[in-house]
Amino acid sequence: MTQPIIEMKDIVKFYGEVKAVDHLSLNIFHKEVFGLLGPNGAGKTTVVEILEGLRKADAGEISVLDQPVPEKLDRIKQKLGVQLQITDLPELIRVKELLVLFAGYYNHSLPVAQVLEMAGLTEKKQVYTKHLSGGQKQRLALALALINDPEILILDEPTTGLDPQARRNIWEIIKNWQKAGKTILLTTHYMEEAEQICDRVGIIDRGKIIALGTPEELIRKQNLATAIEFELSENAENFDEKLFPEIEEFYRQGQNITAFSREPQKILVELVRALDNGSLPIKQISLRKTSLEDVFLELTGRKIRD
Amino acid sequence: MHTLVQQYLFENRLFFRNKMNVFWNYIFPLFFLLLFGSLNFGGSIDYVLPGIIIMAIASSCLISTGISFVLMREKGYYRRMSIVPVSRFFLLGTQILQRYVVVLTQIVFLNLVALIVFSASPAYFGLDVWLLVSFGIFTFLALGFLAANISPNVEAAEAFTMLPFFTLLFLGGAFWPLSIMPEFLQKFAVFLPTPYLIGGIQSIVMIDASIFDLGKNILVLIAWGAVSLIMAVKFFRWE
Ligand SMILES: Nc1ncnc2c1ncn2[C@@H]1O[C@H](COP(=O)(O)OP(=O)(O)OP(=O)(O)O)[C@@H](O)[C@H]1O
Ligand SMILES: [Mg+2]
Repeated sequence: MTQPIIEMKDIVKFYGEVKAVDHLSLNIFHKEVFGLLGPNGAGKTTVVEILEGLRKADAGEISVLDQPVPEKLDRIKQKLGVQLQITDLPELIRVKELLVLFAGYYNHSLPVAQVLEMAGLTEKKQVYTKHLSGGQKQRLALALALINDPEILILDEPTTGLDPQARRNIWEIIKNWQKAGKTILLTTHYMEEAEQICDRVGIIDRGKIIALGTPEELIRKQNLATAIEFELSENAENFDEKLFPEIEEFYRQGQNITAFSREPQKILVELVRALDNGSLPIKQISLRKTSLEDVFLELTGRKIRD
Repeated sequence: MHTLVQQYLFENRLFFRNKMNVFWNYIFPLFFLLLFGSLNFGGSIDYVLPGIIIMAIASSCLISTGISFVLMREKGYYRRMSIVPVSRFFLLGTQILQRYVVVLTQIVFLNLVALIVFSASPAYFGLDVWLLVSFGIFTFLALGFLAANISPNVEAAEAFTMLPFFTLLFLGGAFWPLSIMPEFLQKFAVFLPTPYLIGGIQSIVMIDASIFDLGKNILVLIAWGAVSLIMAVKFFRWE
């Protein structure tokens, strides 16, 4: 690949005693959608806000568009579009007024009508921001990030709290933005989102990147077993995994069992036999392709969302 | 220039769309003007109008501006604005400019009502009053800014702006002559900026003083403003 458009070297950030970013290094390249994936408190927001100059790293080197951060931020800002995790906009201002105002801050900006259209806010352009729904507010925040036609778009959890349809809309905006030749860095704790739209993913946990690559690479690299999920009609406590020698690992949760195996077909046969002879009261069985969710579980021993 | 106009209009919209601002800055002082003007304490509108003018200044500069800064700060507005390529001091400066113009329109409005209803002097529209009032606006904006910066949240900002508002107006002789107050309070009032602003306006309209005769008044206003501003800067934060 070419010269990275965002370069972070050995970033450290403390909040008092808490080490929020722990010697993190990361390169992001031109025209890629990069996803920073991690559970609550992993350090995602801290990392992106250090890039944006909103927080100061305690150590490390950063360059964005070949300019050092924070020294040359003024120049970088012209080409940077940012959606913060939380933004409360002034309430008594109309959507279009806000976009026009923001467009005026930049040397180069997109036509407001075009950005309204992209964000699906054309119908709401005359509405006060306080009368927008949560999802519409989020799209307005995205629209404000797009107004200067930024080379780099940094989105902090752009789809959290949105319904599936709204989420898909945002994915589409991001994909189109990439097609227009731009680079996108986003954070998320939705594994599905990372798999769907990111070219590369960095899994972050406790301020460290613990895995990096394309979603397929990560899944392949872990050489994960397939998950077999089944539900019993009684509590799963009595389930004896020793009856199934092919099970490599399993979790119980109420009446549900998730078992992992590299030979799922054998387990299926045994499960069906157990069901048939009445030794195991199985209600449902399903097989699941391994996902980034499992990669995360494997790497950290924890679920990404608790 | 274009950005300045846009930003000014933005601030102006935010200000006037908030009905509370219209109430506190126009209706409330108007009500006091009509009430005190009719009661006619000192025998002349000139004992009433300067106090009302100061009330208008204090409510815009101290209360409205102070609280709105804290509100915007707590909502992360200034934080968001640090990502755009304009200085946040430019944004703050525009806000202050907008408030200044608002206060001048308030004063013109009150003076007009006083002229029509109570036959107040046209000298209230003069250059000398305008200049003196501008120093007063500086003082109260600095106080409002100080109150905002020492307030951890909006509730605190309400307390920290209301307290000096009432102290400066009531003890500073905005609503009644200082001479009817107990002696120890009169001695205390000498240290407040309000009597110098009120007294200054009265001298201009009643004894035809010019701005050059009011050096001491201006000095006190600047001193209060400067000290407040220096302290405000010490506690200043964008987020
Ligand atoms: N301003 C702050 N002061 C003190 N600690 C903080 C601050 N901001 C974040 N932290 C701590 O730093 C760690 C990383 O926080 P950060 O907000 O970067 O996580 P995140 O990955 O964005 O989480 P989320 O998914 O919840 O948004 C957390 O332990 C958090 O409690
Ligand atoms: Mg976050």
